[in-house]
Amino acid sequence: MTTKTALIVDDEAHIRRVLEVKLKKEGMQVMMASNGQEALSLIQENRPDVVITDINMPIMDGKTLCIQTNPLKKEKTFLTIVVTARIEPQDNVWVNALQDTLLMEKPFSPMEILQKIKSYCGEPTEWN
Amino acid sequence: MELKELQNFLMHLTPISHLQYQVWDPDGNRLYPDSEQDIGDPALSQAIQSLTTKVLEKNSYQQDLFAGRHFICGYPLANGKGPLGSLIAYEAETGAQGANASAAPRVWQHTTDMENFLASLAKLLQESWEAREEVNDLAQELDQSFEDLFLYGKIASQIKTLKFSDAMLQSLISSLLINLRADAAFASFYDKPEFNTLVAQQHLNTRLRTDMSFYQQLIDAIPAEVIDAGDKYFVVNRSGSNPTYQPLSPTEYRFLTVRIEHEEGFYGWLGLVSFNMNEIFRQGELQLLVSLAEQLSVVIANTNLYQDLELFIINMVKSLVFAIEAKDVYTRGHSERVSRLSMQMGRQLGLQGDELESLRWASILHDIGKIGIPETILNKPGRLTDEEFEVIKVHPAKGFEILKPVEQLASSLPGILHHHERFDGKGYPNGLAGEQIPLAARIIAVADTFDAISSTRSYRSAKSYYKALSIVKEVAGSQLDPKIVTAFNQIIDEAGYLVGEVSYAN
Repeated sequence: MTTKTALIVDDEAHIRRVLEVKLKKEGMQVMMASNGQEALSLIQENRPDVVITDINMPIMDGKTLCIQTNPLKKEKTFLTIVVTARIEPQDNVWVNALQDTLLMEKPFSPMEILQKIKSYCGEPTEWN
Repeated sequence: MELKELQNFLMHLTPISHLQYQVWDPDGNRLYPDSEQDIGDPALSQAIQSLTTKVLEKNSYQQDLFAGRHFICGYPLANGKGPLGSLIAYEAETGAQGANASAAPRVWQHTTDMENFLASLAKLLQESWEAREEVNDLAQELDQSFEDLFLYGKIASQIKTLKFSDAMLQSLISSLLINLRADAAFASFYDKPEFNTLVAQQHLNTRLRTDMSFYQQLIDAIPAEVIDAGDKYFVVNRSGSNPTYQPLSPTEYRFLTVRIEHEEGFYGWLGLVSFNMNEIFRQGELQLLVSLAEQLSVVIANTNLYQDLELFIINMVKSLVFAIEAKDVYTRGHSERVSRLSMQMGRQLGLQGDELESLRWASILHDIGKIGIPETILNKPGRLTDEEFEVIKVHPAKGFEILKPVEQLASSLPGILHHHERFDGKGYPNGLAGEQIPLAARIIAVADTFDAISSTRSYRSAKSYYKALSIVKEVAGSQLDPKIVTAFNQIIDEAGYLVGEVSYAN
């Protein structure tokens, strides 16, 4: 187990792209999905170390994705970062109820996302 | 196309072509097939290697006929930045024909075709590498734009608050420092030096560990009028080549500062300092700083307007107070004394911020309703009749009515309306008791009672302060809130009020 894998879930390609480049630069493996449905099967098959997901997406939204993947964390947990353009008060409630799940507001700082990942997974040098 | 894809491409090309292909890096290492793989004839390998060197040296198509039988040709690979290596094609086997005619040198029919083929392949590779780099560069820029956008959003939300404050600036400058990866960020104001803010990175590297005085000298050295008046910013990209800025620091630095200005004037500078000379200030950084400076100037202008408005209200209140005191000759200075005592009690009781401000206005304006009371009653020497007293009793309600339209004083109105309530519920206008009476009103009642007893009123002469204090203590629990009387007593004790305060007697 050397590299860490991240899954980026957002229906906007440019947001996926920014995070992809940022995380690949740190040596992470990156998978991408444009909605919750795609993400769900990727998580079931690949068990990433980090999932970064938007809330408002077509087909399956980020909240449903988080709730459906939360039971998987019992076996082997992973970090979920939920990013949303507008944090509604109830978002804090469901996010707090889930394991290893953080809420961040858009526009986010890619650097800050990376810091959250590092503080959860450790520095890249410790990944080996 | 990644090198790996190129390898796949060549691997598929080999079986359908009678040529073999190789890829070399600029340092003379074979990348494909990988250097471990033996390609046979060492002399042929030698010949290929020397051709790659020639291709790189001349940076053009080269060919050779090794041992008069094996045709070898190569073409340089490059991207926009420089050489990446060379692409080689050669004949490994010359076939039966070659073996038969071993004496006669073979003639290669396809020299021009081969050159064209390698050239187009190299061009295709170059374009794909460049495109990939461009995409990466764009993604980097996008990444930076995200950081800028994030910072801008964060600051814009802080700026929504009308008032300009130390905490807001501190947070803004720190965000700038972190997000723009500068070594120091500052805001400097000509008219408000108390708001000057400087945040610097703490460097572990001693060479860069700069004391704050450097930054101060730097800020002081910024010319008040930039060279070109139209410029919104001032930048020094290399301090080493600038006679004004070079002496300030032995380590070379660069700095960028933008004007904080508004229609009404020039307030100061917002800037960044960096010791990282491998980078320059980006256009995006400049734009971000300019936008932030504009936002800041709006906040400052709003704050100034707000302060003007506040001053206007203070002056208006003073006029109102003068108006009452002009009518009621005996109460001159009363409002101000009651206000001063009330504020002291308020602080003693732990009030702060808006609560204290409300108390200030309520206490100074508590008697404003007396404007509506006939002077003959207000200034009547001796006791008032019951009817006259009933007229006096409307003044808290009148004060409330007078000030009700002033939105800014809304939170002070309860203190004014109820300052004649009694703790035992026998006061007016509503007969509220105990804690039903607003705290401000209970505080004002203590101050008002004390001042009324201790200063000259139309109906009796001033009693001594000691006497006044003992009366206040006597009515604690009936007329006044005992807790507030205790606080009042503490203030009097601590301040030595009755002995020291000469002005109070006037």
